[in-house]
Amino acid sequence: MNDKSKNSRRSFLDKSLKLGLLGIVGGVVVSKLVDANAQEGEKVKVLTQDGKLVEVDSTAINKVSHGSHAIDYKVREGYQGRKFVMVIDLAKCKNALKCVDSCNKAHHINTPNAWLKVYKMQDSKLSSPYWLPSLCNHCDHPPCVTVCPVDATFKRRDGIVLIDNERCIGCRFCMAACPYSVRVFNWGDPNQPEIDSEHQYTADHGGLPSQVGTVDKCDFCPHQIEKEELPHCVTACPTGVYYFGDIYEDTVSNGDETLKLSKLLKDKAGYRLLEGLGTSPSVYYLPPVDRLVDFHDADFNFEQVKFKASSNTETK
Amino acid sequence: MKTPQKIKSFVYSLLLMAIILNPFNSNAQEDKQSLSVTLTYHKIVGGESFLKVTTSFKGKNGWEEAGKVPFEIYNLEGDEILLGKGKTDIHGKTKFIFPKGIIMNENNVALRITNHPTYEDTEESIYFKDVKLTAELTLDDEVKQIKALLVDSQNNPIADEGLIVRVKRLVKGLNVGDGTYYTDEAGEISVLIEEDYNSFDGNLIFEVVLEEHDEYGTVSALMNADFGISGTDLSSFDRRTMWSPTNKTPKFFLIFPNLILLGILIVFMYLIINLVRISKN
Amino acid sequence: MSDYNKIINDLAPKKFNKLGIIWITVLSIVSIAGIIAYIDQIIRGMEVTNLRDYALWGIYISNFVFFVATSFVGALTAAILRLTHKNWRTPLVRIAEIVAVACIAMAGVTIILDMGRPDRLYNLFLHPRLQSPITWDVLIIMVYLTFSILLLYIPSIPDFAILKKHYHDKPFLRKLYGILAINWKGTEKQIRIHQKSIQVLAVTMIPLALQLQTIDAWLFSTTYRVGWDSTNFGPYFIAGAFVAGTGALVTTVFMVREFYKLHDYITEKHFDKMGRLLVFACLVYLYFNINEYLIPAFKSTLGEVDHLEEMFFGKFAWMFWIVVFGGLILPTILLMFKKMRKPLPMFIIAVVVVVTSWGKRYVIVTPSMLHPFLPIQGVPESWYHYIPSLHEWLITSATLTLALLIITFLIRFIPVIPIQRTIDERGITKPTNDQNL
Repeated sequence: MNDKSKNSRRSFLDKSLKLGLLGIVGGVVVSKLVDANAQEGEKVKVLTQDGKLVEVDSTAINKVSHGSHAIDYKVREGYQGRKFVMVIDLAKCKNALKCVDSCNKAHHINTPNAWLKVYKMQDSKLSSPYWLPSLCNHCDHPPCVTVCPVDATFKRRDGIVLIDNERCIGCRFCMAACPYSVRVFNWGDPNQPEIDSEHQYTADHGGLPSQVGTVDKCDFCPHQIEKEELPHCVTACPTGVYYFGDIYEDTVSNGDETLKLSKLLKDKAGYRLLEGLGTSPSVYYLPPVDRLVDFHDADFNFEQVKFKASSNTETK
Repeated sequence: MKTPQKIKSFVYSLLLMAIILNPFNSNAQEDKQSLSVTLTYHKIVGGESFLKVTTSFKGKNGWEEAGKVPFEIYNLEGDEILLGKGKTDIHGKTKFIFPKGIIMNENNVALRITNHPTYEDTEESIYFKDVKLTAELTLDDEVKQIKALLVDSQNNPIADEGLIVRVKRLVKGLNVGDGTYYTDEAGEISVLIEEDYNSFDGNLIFEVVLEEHDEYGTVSALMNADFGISGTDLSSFDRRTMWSPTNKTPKFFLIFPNLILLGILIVFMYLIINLVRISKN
Repeated sequence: MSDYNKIINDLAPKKFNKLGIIWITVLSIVSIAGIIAYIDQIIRGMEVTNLRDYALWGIYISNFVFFVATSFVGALTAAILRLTHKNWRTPLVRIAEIVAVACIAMAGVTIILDMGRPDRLYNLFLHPRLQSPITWDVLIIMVYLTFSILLLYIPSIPDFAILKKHYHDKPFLRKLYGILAINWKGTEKQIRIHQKSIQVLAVTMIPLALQLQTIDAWLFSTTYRVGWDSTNFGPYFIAGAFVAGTGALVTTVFMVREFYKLHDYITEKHFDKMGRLLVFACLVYLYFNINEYLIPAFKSTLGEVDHLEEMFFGKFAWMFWIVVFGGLILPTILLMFKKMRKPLPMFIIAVVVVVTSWGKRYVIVTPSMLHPFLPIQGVPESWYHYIPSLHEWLITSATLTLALLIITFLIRFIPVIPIQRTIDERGITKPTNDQNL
């Protein structure tokens, strides 16, 4: 098992090295991706998940139909050469809650502890109220992972923070440590009759199934990325609030438009939540300027929604 | 006379019950659900040609994914030939890759679902023409340019057709320049790459795409380039950090607590040995 | 009867009388009710508690902190008093050590009660992460429990030898004390090794006890939560443990004294000394409390204001003020008067101190949970608050009664006042006719 993965990695490295060399030797070249003359049984170059070229037997391609992981993918390590990032444009959020619905559906959340919540916010009395979608920030310095005693929650190479629900002992220290309150706990039975009992659990598809007595949270949808699709909240949003992408590619997409991350953050003054804590989140927010919709005055009571404060806000 | 009849009717009702409760009862055609199949044709120049298949059914909450539906693909052009079989995944999606050399100038292909226990027999056909798209990327004194040519199967240029030029990205591509460029009389476009593009290892894949064309489907040509701006590895995965797993514990946290534990162990052993010495005295 | 035999007769563990049996029965009933509640919690999951995603730690954790705190003084006073050779300590240290063992054992149990998946406890040893304060906590609790048991056992060895002789006509007790006495004859060499061991143990106990409290405090102060995010927390917890532990010690000493009629051995002088110790502990703790509340109030950052307002004037106010006044200020003032340092008033004050110490942990744990950085929204209304459920009360009560049961049974078999030391200190020699036994 181990040998095999080692081998495949080595040959993978060889190939990328060769390709790299080819590129250098070629210098100014016209390169075509796929060898047009490839015949049955011959080697064909194909593109892997992480945007690299690998040579595989051309007959193998026909067998692989949909959604295969990159060759050296490991759940606890994640995608090589990827680092996922999200941008949430607060100006566009109108609390349609389609993101919450689709997230709940996709992750089989049938209890009140949704992973994605939309908060009513107001930073100060005279500033304007706005909606703030909140999900796991997949921090680069994750305080939740730091305090986990059993290595159940972990930080992957691609930036995603996941939970191994078969390892978690339910001490909830990670929940206490998370300053964004994004972690939820399965207090009782997760109530997921729709899940096939024979389904094989993997940590990169949270909620499938959830387990009583363990912690859950937003998983940044690696199962969607694997299918070359955007996370559920991104595709569900009717106003394109969410952008998702890879920080190495400097690109984010909300499905309708694909933008350069650095330019977007520069132009719209992107920021991160509670930056001062040094958690270094992977989720950026664009300030709620020129909002698509406004609150009606009657809906809003500043005392209930202070940002960075903490009164027990009652949603009416 | 009466008793046998009673028995007979009893047996009949038992049989009826069995038929009603039969788990295979859903075989009965009238109980089956109707299925919706969407087919789109895709071609990667020099690579595979395939159909994207989506199966869904009208459920309680609108259209729902019809997972794991087996189907057969037939070529309807000329003699009807079975091209292959496939099955959608749990989300009701799959790619059916055409065997090499099958795609003709004009194609008429049908997908058939028959004898499925829960879905009605369904047929969905698609008509598409083959098209030739060639694209090349040239680098000349810092000028990067993509040229593409769109011709039909008889090599007649196709003019005024929108081609999308983009860099392949995680999910959706990032447009190069305006994104869409219309072919001229000669069926050509030429696009200057003026912006810088990032990637982890500096490798980029540009693509020229004829997208969702009524006749030609989606056709894309890919080009490899190595002039992307590579980034530094931002991941702390290989380092010993506070959030690393057990095997990458920072050295301080390995040494310091274990030293304390060792000290405690020494005291403990000392006390136990003393107890033994007391008892041996 | 010689003085020697009188002392042994007075101090040897005795069978429970009627009152003792009633006491044990009551404790057992509560414990069994709690165990049943816990089994239900395992079957149905932690939804039987009123803990939810915001109030995610509640009385299980505050109870855990209480036990850890209470276990502190037991060992620390014992260790310090041993090291400083204060002779008045003799009748108190054994009780302190018994309290320590019972409390730290129950602390270990309590933390398991709060776990969502106690069936996966082994993961703590299969995949331990040394960066996690919980791992440190698990380690220190195990170490502290081991050393507390040793601190209780090793000094008792000579007493076990005496009891072995004393119960020579009772086979079970003779055998039990025979094993525990590990061949103790009181030879010079044995005494030398014994003294040395106790010395080393006492010295080790002090850093361990400080570590235990500090790590316990770090469980909270390593998070960003308002009210926990404090560099003051380690010493704050140590001071608090000093108060809780001394209170528990006074309470237990008084009850043991009354139960076993040990007025000759535990005198008013001892209560006077313990009273002074409690005043000192309360003053130190008060000092840390002022730090812990005054400085955030002075700065009044948005989060702190909300937290403190709720604590001073809001729904936790009644508890907070009872804890501060009833548990710290009032005892300090009262115990300044010599009259109040008599056994009965001391006992009443100590009970109040112990109860408010428990409340103090609740006030530390819960309000902070309900003041996260982002607002509490999008969850059922009942999740905004936290009032422990019946299950939580039953289980928590059971942990307390189980601790009392452990103390009771330890007292049943271990002499609460060191016999050998009392004999030595009073300069009584063994009657020669006993020599042959």
